[in-house]
Amino acid sequence: MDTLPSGLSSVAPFPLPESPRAPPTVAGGASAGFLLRFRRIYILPTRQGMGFAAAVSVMLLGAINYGNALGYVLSFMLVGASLVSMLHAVRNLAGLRVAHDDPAPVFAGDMARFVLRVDNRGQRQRFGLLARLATGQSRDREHDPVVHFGLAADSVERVELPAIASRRGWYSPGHVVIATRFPFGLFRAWSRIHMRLRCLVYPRPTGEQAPPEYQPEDAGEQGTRGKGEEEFSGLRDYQQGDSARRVHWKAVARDQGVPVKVFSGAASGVTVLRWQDVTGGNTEARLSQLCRWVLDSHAQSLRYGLCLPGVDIPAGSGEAHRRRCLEALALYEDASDR
Amino acid sequence: MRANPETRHWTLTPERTLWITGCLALVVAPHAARIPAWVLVSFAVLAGWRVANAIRGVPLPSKWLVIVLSATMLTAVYASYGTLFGRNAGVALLAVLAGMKLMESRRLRDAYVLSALGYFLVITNFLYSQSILTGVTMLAVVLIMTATLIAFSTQSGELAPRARLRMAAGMLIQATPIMLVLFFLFPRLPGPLWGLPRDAHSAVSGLSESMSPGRISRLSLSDAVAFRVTFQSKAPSPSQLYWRGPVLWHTDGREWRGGQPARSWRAQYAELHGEPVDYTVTIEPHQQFWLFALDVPTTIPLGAQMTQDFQLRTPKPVRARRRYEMRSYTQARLSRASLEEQAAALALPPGMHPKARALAAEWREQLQDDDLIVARALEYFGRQPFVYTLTPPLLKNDPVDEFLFDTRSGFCESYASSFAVLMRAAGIPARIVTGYQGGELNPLGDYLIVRQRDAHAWTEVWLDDRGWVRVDPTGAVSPDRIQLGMDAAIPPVMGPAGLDLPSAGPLWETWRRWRHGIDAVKSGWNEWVLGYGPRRQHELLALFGMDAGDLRGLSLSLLAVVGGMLGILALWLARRQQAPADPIARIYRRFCAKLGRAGVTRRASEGPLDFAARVVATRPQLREPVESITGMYVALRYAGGNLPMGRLKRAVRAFRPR
Repeated sequence: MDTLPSGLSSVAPFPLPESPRAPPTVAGGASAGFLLRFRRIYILPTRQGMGFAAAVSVMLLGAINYGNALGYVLSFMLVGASLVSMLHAVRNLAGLRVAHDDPAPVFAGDMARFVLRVDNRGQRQRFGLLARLATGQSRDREHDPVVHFGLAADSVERVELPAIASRRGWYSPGHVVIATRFPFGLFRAWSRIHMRLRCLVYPRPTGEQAPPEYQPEDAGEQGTRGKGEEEFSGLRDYQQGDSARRVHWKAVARDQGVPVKVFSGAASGVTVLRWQDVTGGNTEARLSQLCRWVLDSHAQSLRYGLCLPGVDIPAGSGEAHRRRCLEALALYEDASDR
Repeated sequence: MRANPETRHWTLTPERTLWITGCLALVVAPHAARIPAWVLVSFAVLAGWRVANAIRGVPLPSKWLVIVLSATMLTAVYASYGTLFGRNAGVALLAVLAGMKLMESRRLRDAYVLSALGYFLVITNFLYSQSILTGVTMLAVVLIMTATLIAFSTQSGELAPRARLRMAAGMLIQATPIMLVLFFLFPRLPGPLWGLPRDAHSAVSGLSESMSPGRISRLSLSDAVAFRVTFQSKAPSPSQLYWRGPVLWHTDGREWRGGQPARSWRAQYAELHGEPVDYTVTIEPHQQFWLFALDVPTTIPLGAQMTQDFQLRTPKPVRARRRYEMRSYTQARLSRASLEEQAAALALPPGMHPKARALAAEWREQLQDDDLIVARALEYFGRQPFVYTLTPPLLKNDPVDEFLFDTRSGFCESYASSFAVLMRAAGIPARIVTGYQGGELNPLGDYLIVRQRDAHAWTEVWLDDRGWVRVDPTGAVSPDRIQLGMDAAIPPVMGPAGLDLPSAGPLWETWRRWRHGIDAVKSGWNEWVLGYGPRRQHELLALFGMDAGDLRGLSLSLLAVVGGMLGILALWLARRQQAPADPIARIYRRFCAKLGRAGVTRRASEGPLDFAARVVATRPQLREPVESITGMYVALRYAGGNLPMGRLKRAVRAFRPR
């Protein structure tokens, strides 16, 4: 309705619809955000809150026993402050918006870095917030990644939650919890956010087997050879789109800018990395070996193809090709597993 | 117990340590005079150790040393007091525990244990004093402790100390209505729930049930309030204000003691004359078994008894401030005395006071009429050079004879006791009444303050045709004492802060007026804060048609009221919009408002870039200004760009969407 010409909207015969409510569940990809509404925020006393309640009860008993008026005043003041703190705890969360970015793929065993964007649009500062990735495995709870942060008025905070991606495939770490113990630590207010957090996990690149023979180009493989792909010829400054693998990291460490290695074509030919070429081992071990080969081939700027049961990726090179191969390895489903 | 991932990394940072240590020091400090020096020193050393650890990284003692030290100190507290319970031992114990806990506190749980100890120590201060000053001081301490809780639950650097204090103050203010409701509506139970430790009430100076030279004059140095009186009917003249307390029958020549003559617990008898006086007394706790009332009381407060000599006795000591309504007749005649009573009122210790006895025998020989002997004795006090003074010379062997014939200067107790001895020696039954005389009218509160310095002793003699008649020999010597009150007879010893002010000067008047103002506040404090108990709650609830005995109804309405208050507060908090602190955001909001007036309203869920895209899609003609303003805003706000803010401001000011 906002697309009406301005002249019309002011004389619209019926009220314009309210802004659409943010859906409680947000699909993957860069999301619009999940709004923490009052009724989705839960609150319970913390262990410290329980202890505090016990202490106040004892104080009240003492006040009753001694007939001590100021004892009553103090006990009731603390009761009142605790109740008020409950409201402040909920208010500290209410109105925040949480969105997430899909994290970059990682290799199994590495840290997947889930990124939340917590947006505070109000004019109120938020204190003592924490984001936690509730992995859902009770025995691992104490290793849940937790990040503490605060938010200035009208600001956005990028929160990175690292979690170990132990297995290849899509890794969904569970849900996100945004919680606070502000203001007194007597209550913990929290909200669970069921967003589809997921991270693609490539197989762990392991295995010592030698890659299959490199086949000269006259083998008849199609594809054009990119210029400057194969042999190191020098350094130039980093440009957007360059592979991180080509960055001359040692120079970066020496604080000499971000040089990128440039290669010039000399060698040419094709390797096809085949499932059958890996000897022995179970599916995961084979995939790990194939992953190793893909990375090595890419590092050597070779042209390579990948051939798995049911998957056939023609030879190619470059970042996009590498990603395509790794994705295929990550998402490979063994027929016998099903 | 599994570590909570959310608090696993919480530590007692140096800043938090300084705050909590400071709080504990603030609550232990007022106890300095009440706890043994070694406890104070131990606490100071331990607190200092922890502060040194926080600032300089001085290592804390090992776990074993902490255990050994704690055990030693607990033993020492036990050795000092013979117990670990009770008021004084409890305070020492808490101070020691707080110090030791500081030594081993690292985690979140420890920090909250320290806080709880702190709040406990606050409440122990109230066991010693519940004055307004104590209340205000402890309120400040509670404010700091609450700010410390905020420091515990925010990241360091998120809030400056001052902001934390301001926030804590806000929370306490918001908590106040709930506190008041709970204070007035929470069911009040009479009496202690279990036995009070023996030291719960320390000695309070006040009248006792015996009188010896110097007892009452010592009281006269005290400005402490004994009780306050509000008159419902016309107040009697000052010379009629005799507040009756213990009646003393027995003397050993030096000391007078109370106690009824045998078989004297029988009905009192008084002939009532004149107008009744109705009044309400608010008595300060004095730890004794009696109440005071204007001479002669005719009503008996709830739970009290009246003896045949018109004392109001209570079965338990008066341990809490108490209000009671009374009716008295200042003109009444007490006109019955049994033979036992008369005998008891004639007894004199054998062999004492030979000179006084001789004088009385001389009077008896000359005069037949008891009335005339009384008049003669008063005349004797008036004619001889007697002096009314607070600091009489020491009376060594026979206080009556020495006072009557040598020193001739004394306080009311000397006059009363020697007069009674003279009467008994002359064969006239006599007894001593102790209590207070006079009082100071507070014009601000329209009530009478009776202080310890108004303590007085007078006599009653038995005259066959008139019954027990009050005779105040002090009046014969110092009529001002009775007519105008204590201040006129003997100027108060001290002005404010011990200044010796001339008692008639303007400064003194100012001080007096001040004192009245302060006492009016104190009286309100006593009545509504300290004296608010089951009885007052009953009265208050009756005003609202509620029954204080109906615990269920009371609890339900309590919950309802507190719940309602929380609801109102929640709404208020949800609506409250603070003024935008950020000028950039303010400028951007003005921009949005202009667009809103032009018909494009920014949705709550829309970021600046999405909004700009929608505006441009709707109003292509606004593309240029909208994109430039949004670009500047985003750069300033999110990219931390160092554009001059003035440009954004000017652009928004010039922006005219149509």
